[in-house]
Amino acid sequence: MSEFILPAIGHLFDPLNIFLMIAGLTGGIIVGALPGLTATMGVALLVPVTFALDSTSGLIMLGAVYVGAIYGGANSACLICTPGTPSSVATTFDGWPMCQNGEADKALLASLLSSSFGGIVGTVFLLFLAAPLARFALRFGGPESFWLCLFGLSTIAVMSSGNMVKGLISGALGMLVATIGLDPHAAAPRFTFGYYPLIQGVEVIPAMIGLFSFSQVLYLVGSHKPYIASYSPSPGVFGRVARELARTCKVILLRSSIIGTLVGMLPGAGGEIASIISYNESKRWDKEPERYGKGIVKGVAASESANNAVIGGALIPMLTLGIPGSAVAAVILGALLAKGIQPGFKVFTVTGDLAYTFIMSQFAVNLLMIPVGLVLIKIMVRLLSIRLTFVAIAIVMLSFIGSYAIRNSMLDVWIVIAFGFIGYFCNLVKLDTGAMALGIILGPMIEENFGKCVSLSKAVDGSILQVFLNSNIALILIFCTLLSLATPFLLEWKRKRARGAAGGEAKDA
Amino acid sequence: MRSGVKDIAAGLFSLLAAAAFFCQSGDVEGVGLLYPQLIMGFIASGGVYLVALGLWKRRSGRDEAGDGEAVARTRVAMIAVGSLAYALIIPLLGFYAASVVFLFGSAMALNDTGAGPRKAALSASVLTMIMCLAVWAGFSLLLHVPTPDGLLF
Repeated sequence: MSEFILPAIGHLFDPLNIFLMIAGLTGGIIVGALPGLTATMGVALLVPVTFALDSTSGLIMLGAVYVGAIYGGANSACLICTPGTPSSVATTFDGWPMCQNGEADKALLASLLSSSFGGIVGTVFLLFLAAPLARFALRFGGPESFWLCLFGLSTIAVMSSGNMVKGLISGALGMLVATIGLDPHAAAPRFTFGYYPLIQGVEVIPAMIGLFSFSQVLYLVGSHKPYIASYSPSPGVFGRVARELARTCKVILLRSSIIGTLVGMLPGAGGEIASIISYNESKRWDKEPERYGKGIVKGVAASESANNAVIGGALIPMLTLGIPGSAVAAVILGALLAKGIQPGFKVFTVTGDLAYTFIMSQFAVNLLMIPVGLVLIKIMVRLLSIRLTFVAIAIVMLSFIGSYAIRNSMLDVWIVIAFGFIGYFCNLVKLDTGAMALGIILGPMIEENFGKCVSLSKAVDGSILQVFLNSNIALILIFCTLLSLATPFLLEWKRKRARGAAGGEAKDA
Repeated sequence: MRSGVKDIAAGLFSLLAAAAFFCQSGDVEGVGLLYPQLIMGFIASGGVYLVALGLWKRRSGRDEAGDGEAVARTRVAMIAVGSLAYALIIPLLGFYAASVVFLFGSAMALNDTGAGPRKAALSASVLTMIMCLAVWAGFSLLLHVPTPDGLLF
């Protein structure tokens, strides 16, 4: 490995590669910030451009777009409560309240620095632990993936701890919505309500845009506010946020980045699951979990470090086994194959120069993201000085074209409108739209793995329970899920005990 | 809205959703039916619980008052109807033509600056032009993302 590292670092100082990293990052951040334009789309659109470049430069640029796009989603999540990419859903939980509290710059800087940190941790794992981690990821079959998704879903218990029944119902409603379309087991149309285009199913991004963005447009237009939020730039905010992250969020950043890397390695599980699980874990282990969701840096840091750490995780099985951990990794894999590079362990020996240059470029890209992101934040934050009515109207236009762009289908525009109304109604009656989003995201994976387990139990003539409980990983995940579900009760019990003890001491005094 | 009413509304919404999906499950079978049926059962039970909870709150006087935030309902209705009309005319006129109509019309209708009609029309035109140009440059020109076609453009 060491013989490749120094030449790899040398490649990074090539002016063309520096330019490609900056251009890729800028393009990626803009693509990520625009609702509907995903990291996958951004990388896929740039694959033909890389054919004009040599393999190393092309791969560096694709990696930069990937990193930029995943981070870029946080900007719209914080400023207009619209997750630019599905990975940023959890960022809206605290980023948007921070913006409404007049701390937009703090939220944006926290997401930038956390994303950079998460990306670097993911790359460290990619550099040093690729082989053992890839072998571990291979042990995830249907039952393990099923329990991992249920563990992700158990987040609802903590997310809606004030009103768990409504949270659970909202999550179940999301899972039910995710069953619309083709039955994955029999390939037959299901729950299309006589409207044939619904056979395509409900795409996640338009549903998220509707639940978080269009519903907010309805709320904001009816709120009598002249601007989205009051905002006055405060000098020295960058230093303050960096210090706060270093002082109070270091454990959160590290834990979330590790979760992100591990989840990223699993095929099908991406930034959206990693960021939600990390957010949940940060809230669970915090001394003041009730502050989450009201606009704190810790919430943004948990979500953003996790979703950018996913990148390193997703690249591990792609480079070592040829199995992409995410859709973007699949596109990059396609670009590698088009260049005649065969992934596998040989990629680190025969084409070691290319592989290590790519990995080292991930470090450089995550560091370069800070200055590039700072410049773009200064431009994007000006959005808050535009009148709310104009912003709301513009969001409707962007939501429509962004959702249409995903499948070139007007169905997705109607999904935005339908979920916008559902989201507005849910906010009125206190049903949890975050939990519903989680159900829509995890629903298809849960159903697919549930089906795999049922088929497996039939194939081995055993009971389904036997299949579900057959591995140690599954048992650990079941334990984590139960612990997650019990957390609100344990916290409440702990709080009551503390109150009781404080009351007893007061009486004694 | 009082908390009891919120619970009843949430419960009825859940029951309605479960019933709507249940009515559609005629041709589905096997695991493809078992999985959604489990979810429907859960939602229906939760819905019944929420309705019962809401009724109990109202009867027992534990019905807490809402946050009482004033909502400009007319403006909410206007943007909602405007967005529906926008989605309807996109396939007829084409994306950019429909966007011009929606952006200019909504900016005029929701104008809350207190400015006169001429000034409002000017700012609505600027918004329309900037948004259409930005989306055209970003989506069509740079990224070659297709936009919905229609009679115009």
